[in-house]
Amino acid sequence: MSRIIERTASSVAPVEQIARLIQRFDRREKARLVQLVPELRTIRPEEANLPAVQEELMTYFDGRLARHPELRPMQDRDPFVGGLTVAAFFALPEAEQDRVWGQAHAEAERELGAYEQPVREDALPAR
Amino acid sequence: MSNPSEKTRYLLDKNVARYAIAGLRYGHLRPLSREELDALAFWRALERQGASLFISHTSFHILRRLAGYVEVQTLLDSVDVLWPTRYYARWARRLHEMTGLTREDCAQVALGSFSSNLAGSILGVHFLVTCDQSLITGYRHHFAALDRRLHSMTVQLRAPFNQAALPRLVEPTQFLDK
Repeated sequence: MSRIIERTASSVAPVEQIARLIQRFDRREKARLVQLVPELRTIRPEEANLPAVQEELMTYFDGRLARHPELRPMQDRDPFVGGLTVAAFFALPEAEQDRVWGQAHAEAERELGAYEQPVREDALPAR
Repeated sequence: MSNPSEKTRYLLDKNVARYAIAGLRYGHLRPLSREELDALAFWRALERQGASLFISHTSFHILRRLAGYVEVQTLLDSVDVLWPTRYYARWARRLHEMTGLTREDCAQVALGSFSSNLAGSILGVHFLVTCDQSLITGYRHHFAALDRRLHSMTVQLRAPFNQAALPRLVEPTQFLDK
């Protein structure tokens, strides 16, 4: 496959070179491809059409996320706040997300009580 | 190297923190909302400037339970936590009485004046960053009166509380061209 890709014009992006190759497959070969790369089933078309500014931001933050290989990304069924899963919370309309998030903060305030952080006499004010 | 306490300090309101997490979660999966994009762009811009970013003690209380998710831990890596100090509760009550803003909003604004880090080396923040236009408008409307009231409350307090100041409320987009 690499030789086929190499023969293709260098100005074409690798993913497009591979797409041209896949287009030559018959349906059985394409089905085998989905079997070998099951993540393809979960990809939605809009994922390929993200705004450039968003792509650029995500490139930056991908580097940050990669600093924690021991942690995993949120999944839809993971618990989040307000007794809701990640998917259920972020599927709420904005006003509802705001309400649930605010409620979680009000509960946190109650749980934390009247804690007062000691401050040094020479603490730097925000002036 | 400058003292980190001397940097400009920014408190992310609870929703800016939420938008940032949503942005990390869905940034590769769907077009983000304006607020989510602004939160991420602000975060990157201020991080590049070396500014000090903070979240509230209540946001931290919630997020630390979710720190097993890489998106949440990545945000926690970038921020410090603001804890309420003496006079915080009193000032939050006065803010509510004077402005009619919600208790929750007043608590965030009060934290901007009467808060510190765990080292106790700072008092308050310069900016409270929020996407809530009605909060910004309401706060600006009352700003002069609040400033006078805060001054009369703090003038006789011992240091450092006699230096407490009101935070400025700004949207994330205000910093993106710097």
